[in-house]
Amino acid sequence: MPEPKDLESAIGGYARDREGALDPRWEALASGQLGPSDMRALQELDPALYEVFRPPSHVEGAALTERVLDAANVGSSKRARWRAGLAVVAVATACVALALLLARPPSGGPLPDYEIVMNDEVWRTGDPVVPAQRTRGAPWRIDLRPSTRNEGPVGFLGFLVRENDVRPWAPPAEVGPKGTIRISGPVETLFAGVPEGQWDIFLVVARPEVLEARATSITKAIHVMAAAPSAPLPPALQGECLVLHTKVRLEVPRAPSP
Amino acid sequence: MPENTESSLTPELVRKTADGDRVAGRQLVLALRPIVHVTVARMALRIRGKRANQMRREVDDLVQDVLITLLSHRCRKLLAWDPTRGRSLPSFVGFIAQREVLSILRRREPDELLPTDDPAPIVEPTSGPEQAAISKDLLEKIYQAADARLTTPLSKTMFGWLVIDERSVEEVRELAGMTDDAVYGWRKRISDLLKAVANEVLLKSSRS
Repeated sequence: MPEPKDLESAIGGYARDREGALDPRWEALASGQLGPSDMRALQELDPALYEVFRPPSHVEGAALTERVLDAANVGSSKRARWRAGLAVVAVATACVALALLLARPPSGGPLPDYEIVMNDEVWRTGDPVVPAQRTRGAPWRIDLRPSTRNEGPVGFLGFLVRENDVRPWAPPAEVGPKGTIRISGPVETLFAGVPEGQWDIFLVVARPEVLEARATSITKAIHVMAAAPSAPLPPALQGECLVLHTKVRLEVPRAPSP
Repeated sequence: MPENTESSLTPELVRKTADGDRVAGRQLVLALRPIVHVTVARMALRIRGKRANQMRREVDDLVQDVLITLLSHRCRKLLAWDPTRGRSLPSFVGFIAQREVLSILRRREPDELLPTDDPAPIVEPTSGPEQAAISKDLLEKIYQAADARLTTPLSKTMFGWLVIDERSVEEVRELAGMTDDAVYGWRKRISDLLKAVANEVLLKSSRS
């Protein structure tokens, strides 16, 4: 029988090797730092471990953040509760949309360039951005349209930005067979819980597996863009995502004249 | 630790969040979440085993609970970070997260089976065969047998910290919020347990 110390040491070493299994990629996975191909490789390597370490999706992460801030009483809790209630509806809608997108097999060639079409006016990447005036109660439609042929599924992550306030934006949306993403509905539904005034809208278009894998990196990139909208995407995201930028000025309807 | 997590987690962000800045709070949660997730996942795997049902759900719940604890009371726990004590802020977060996970699990699953004030061995060591070379196969059997007898989050965590991570008594004392004597008691119990199960495994192996 080995000495107790030697036995402990042997068992400890054996258990470390056994865990060691845990190569640094698992931590990178939890941090949202892995690309889709590495994520797929880990998922195939060990599905159970993948489930434990996979990062939350964009919408799961956003909902978690608001729950934590509310529970810890950070910021205006009354407004936050109201916003969180509305966010749950938006998040649930987005979850369904994302789930439908993810249910399709991961595929697709290079991502085509996209343009924004708002009520028949077209904006392309790099065009000067003029805020659209939108009054609550009115309908609104934004189409994200591939400007060249698209092959494969696409999805998007949305963000509303004002100064340093970056909010996930998950409006109801549909994806057409050719890759056009249509966001439409009454302004008060699309922007439920969003205060009046001017907002920058950032829409990040990518293949669904990229959105799932890179949600954390994308969110961080949008935080950088909130301070400098012309800032380029980090190299790791270039070619995998497109960022479309527009603005909106939300207004309350004018009271009818007496 | 991912580089961008380290660089985006700053004392300034903690202070702003403590002052009620919700925008800073969002960035802080974004920076803390990966550190807490990795810590929780590692501990949950040790305690439950990776085939456990509902593991992801438990990890998500624990991550949320730990984040709430870190930000509650105007970030009191995070503001206790002292850079002169040698830990970086991300490392400090990992340390606090480990302590909180154990504390949460102990509240949910009290340590009824292994009272910490009882230094007696869990299993009486039996006399066994003479010194034997421990093969990988025997190590696996001993490990599995020991793991099966460690039935509470605390006992599995103490085994992980003391035997697998080879942490010092001082560090475990801080992590577990115990006295030195209690940690020494745990070390003794675990040592006795390993000796007992090794005897059993070696006896079985010599008979077969």
